[in-house]
Amino acid sequence: MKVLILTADSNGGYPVPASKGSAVSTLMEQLAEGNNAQRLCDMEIMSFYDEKAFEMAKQYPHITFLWVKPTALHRLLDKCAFNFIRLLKKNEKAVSFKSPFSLLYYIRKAGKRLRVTDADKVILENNIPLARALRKTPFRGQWFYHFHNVPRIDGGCRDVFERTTGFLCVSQFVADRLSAPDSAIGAIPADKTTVFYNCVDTEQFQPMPRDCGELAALRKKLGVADGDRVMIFTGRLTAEKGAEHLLRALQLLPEHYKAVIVGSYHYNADVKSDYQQQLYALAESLKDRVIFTGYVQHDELPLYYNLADVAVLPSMWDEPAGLTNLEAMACGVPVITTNSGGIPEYVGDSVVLERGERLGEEIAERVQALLADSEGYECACRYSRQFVCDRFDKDRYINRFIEALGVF
Amino acid sequence: MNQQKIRIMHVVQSAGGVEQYLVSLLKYMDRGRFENMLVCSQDFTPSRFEGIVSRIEVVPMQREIGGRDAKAARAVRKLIRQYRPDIVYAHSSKAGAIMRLANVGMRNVSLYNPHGWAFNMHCSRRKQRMYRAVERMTAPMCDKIVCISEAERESALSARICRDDKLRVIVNGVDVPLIDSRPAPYKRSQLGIPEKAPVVGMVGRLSKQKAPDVFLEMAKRVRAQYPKAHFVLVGGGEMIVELQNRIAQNRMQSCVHITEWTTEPLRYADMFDVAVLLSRWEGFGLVLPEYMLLQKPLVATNVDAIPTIVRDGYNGLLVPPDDPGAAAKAVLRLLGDSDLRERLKTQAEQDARERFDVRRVAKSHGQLFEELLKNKG
Repeated sequence: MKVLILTADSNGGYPVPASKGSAVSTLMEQLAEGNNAQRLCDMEIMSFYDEKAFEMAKQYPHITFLWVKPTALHRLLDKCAFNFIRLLKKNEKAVSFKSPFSLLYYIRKAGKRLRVTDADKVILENNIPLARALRKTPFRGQWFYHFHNVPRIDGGCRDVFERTTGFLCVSQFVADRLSAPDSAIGAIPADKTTVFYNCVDTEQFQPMPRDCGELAALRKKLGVADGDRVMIFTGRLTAEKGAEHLLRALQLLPEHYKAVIVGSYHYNADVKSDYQQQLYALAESLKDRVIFTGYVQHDELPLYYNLADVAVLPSMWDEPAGLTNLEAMACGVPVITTNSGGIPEYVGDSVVLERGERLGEEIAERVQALLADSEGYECACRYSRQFVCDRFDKDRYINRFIEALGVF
Repeated sequence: MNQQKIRIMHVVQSAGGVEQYLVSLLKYMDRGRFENMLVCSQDFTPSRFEGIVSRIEVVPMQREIGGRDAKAARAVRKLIRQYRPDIVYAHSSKAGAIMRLANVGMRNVSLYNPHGWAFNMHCSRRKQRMYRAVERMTAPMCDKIVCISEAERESALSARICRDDKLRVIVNGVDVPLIDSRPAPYKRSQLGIPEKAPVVGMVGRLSKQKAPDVFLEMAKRVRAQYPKAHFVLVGGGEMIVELQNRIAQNRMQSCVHITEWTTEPLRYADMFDVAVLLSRWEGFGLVLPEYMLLQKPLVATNVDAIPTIVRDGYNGLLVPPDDPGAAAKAVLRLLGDSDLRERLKTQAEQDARERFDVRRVAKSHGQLFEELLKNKG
């Protein structure tokens, strides 16, 4: 079986392997890694070029990478367009248009590849305009869409979606939205969707001994004392991710509870938002009990999770999957999260709260209850790690991928 | 004379033990006479078969019975048509059902190896009856059924799956040369075990079948007499959280170690003083010959095929299943009697080398293949 994966985006051109981060790129790299080790199929991945990614790809000699390198002109146009849109719309969504011209270039290249490819199956990653690549090609194999989000537009490609063999969705929530009558790409019959859950690297994200040197150093750096109870939040500092609810909970908790807030607005981008200002104002009142770390590199995150007693991730929008929950749980840190989108499908018996007025209070109650019973807490830690290892470990990601393709 | 090779298509679904079996079997098949190819599910690791099979085709299959089976059967049928193997050989129940469905009307020899009858698993009566019915119905659709132990053959006869002449016993084996050249054992200090402490261990999935719960109960009793003893469970599985909670309740965190899933279980097993296998049921129990080759005095339950491997008091000790008291008593007997340990393990190693070498399994398969094709003409 030969599989061609097309992965591209318009918000910065993230390559696979994930040299620049991004959740989708990381997942694609995990597919590549899994298949490189197990070789369940012949795999070709078409990705934006990046020097570092090119080097990283050498770790996967059994995977064929096809590189797309947008020209200087495309990159210049991207820059102009981005600044122009930023001027026009002062809202936060401007980052979705960071590299539209690179994407167009990619689509053209992908279309050319599809003309000559001998792949049996083509996977399109998440991006809607990518569908255009399939439009005028003679490609007659099966093609699949892999949705990491609920699509918001159809890009004028409904004919392509109608002919798509199957839709792999990161949660039942996403699958249900695709089949809903108001789906942006036209209601997809339920039997054309299947759930293909994301994965997490449970080796990178794993519990660390409490007394290890790195943790002690981090405690010192952040000013966390030994008796402190630490709640962690990771994610962008936007209203959707709900960091403020953690701070509201913190107001109700005793002095020795602290909150560590990891994340900035959009990856490394330097955009300050109103919400962020509000958050800082709220934190002001709590003084040194709130610790903002700013952006933390993905590979340092396990250390931060291990610092915490509990992860509070109160998403306020319908998160398709919520990978942060998985990462925290893989580190053996119990999570407190909200009933949003696909989240409940990923967290098992963890604490799932309803979004509402009382969210802050409820978080405070549940955190205290969880930490009061030390035996129960230990159980919750073990359960969290095991739940994730059993279902979402990256080792079996490629196996689940092939299984999902077999559904149709 | 340039004779044409016999082409065998192996169809397999469940990974784990069966995958290991195939890797070692195919490794030792004569590549001058036989061409093996593999049709496997997505749960396999095809890279492990590189160089030992001529071709690998991945067909998505699922463990549960459902509509997708028909799809898998169609895909397998297409592959049989495409490659025209002389022999189609299915391993484990699921692949057996799919292959026999796919192979209807084909002109080849078909073989089936259940690797432990599904109806011998401890599950609901209804399920057992269903599995038995499926096996009975599909038995006429293949030419020969290979049993991995004498016990499996007897069980087939008493369940009236087929006539005796359809069954052929080829007793399982382990890769002796590979075990002989194994890497050095892990250091005890890695698990925090003192050099001189007695260590009792078990290799197996942490699932109901392997009874790790009974192991814990046994550990409690052994510890009453040997407070310095340590206990190692090598494996991961669905019972892990339950077990960890029980360990915590009994305050045995310092002396019971769970390694979780590992690719090199024998490097742990090598540090055992006494090795046990307390399975509630067992298709074969390949870990027993492995223990034997590692020269471990062993305690095992007398269920299914195990008594055909271990003879009580001769090359190991046998205890009833679900009986932590008896298991603890046997372990204590071994820990307290160095002469007995010595005698059992010497005999055990000799037996393993003579009876459970996979090279013998490969040879018997070769003979069976040629015999079947000759009979067919």
